[in-house]
Amino acid sequence: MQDQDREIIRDLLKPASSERAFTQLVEIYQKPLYAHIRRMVGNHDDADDVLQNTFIKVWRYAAGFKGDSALFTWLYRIATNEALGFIRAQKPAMEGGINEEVQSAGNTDGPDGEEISRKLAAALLTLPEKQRQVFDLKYFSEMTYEEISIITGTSVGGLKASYFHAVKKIEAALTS
Amino acid sequence: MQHNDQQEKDYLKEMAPTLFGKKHEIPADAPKGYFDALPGKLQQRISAEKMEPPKGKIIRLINFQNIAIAAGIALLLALIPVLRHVMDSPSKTAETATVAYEIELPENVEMEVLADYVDEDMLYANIQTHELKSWHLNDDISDAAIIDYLAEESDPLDIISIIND
Repeated sequence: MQDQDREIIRDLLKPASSERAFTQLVEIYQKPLYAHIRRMVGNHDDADDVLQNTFIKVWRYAAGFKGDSALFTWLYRIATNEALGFIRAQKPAMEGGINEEVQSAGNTDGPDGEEISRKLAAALLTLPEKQRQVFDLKYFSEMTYEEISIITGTSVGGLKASYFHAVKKIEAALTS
Repeated sequence: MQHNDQQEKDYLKEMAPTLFGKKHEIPADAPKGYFDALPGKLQQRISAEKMEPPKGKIIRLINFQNIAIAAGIALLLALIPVLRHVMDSPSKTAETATVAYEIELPENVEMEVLADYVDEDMLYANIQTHELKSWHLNDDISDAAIIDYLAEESDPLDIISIIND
C-alpha cells in the first residue's frame, strides 16, 4: 500500500483528523469511482446516489480495512458492490433511463466516433452485471486481472472467460 | 507475464478489431461543480445521520465490558501464587525431601565412622517415627542413602538424640 494511502487510513481512524482525512480521500478517488459507477448504472443521478453510498460505507467501515490490498482496490470493491446492488434493485426501471443517456452520449472523435461511443454505451448496459463489471474494470479502468480478482472475488481464469465473452458481445453490437 | 499480456492484446485486436483498433471512451461527464461540492455534501450527510467517526480497533476495545473481563483475569492471575501456597501440603514437603535421598555419595566416604553412632535397627525405627516415607525401610536403601540422610542433620549430637528418643 502506498504511503499516502497508509497516512489517509491512519488519520481516518483518529477522531481529531478523521474529517480532514475523509475529505482528502474523497477528493482523490471521487472522479475515477464516479466514472466506473456511471458506466455501470448509465446515468448521473443514479451514479451520484451510488457514489455517495459508497463513500458513506467507507466512512463507516474504514476500521475494517486491513491494508492487505491497495486502498483503491478496496474502494473499487465497495463501489462495484454498491453499483451491482443498485442495478439489481432497479432492473426494470433502468432501461428507460439508460436509453436517454445513451442517446446523448457523444465523442470528440467525430460522427463515427460518436456513433461507436453511443453503441458501446448501449452494448455495455446489455451485458450481464458481472461481465459488465469485468469489462469496465479491464477495458476502461485498465486494471490487471489480479487487481480485478481482488475486487470481485473471482479467479483470474474466470475473469478472463468473462472478459472474452463480453468483448465478443460488444464487438457484435458495434458492428451491427 | 509481459509476453502473455501482449499475446492477449494481439488476440483481442484480432477478435474485436472495432473495439480494440482504437481505445474508445464513454463520456461520463458530471455536471459542472459536482466534484467540488461532493465532499461537503457527504460531511453534511454524516452529520445529519449522526454517524460516529471510524474508530481504530484499540479504541473500540475500551468499554466497560472489556475492562471488567480484563480486571477478572488480572485478579485470577494475582490469586494463582496464593492458591498454590495454600494447596501445598506437608506430605508433599516430605516427598520432595525424600528425593534428596537419591543422591549417591562419593565412594571414599568412610562408612565406619558412623558405625559407632548408629544402631541400624534403631535408626530405621526412628526414621519411621519421624514420618518419612515407608519405602525408606526396604532393604534397597543403600548405605550412601542413609549417610546422606544423616548428613542432613547439622550436628552429630542431634543424630544421637534422635536415636535415643
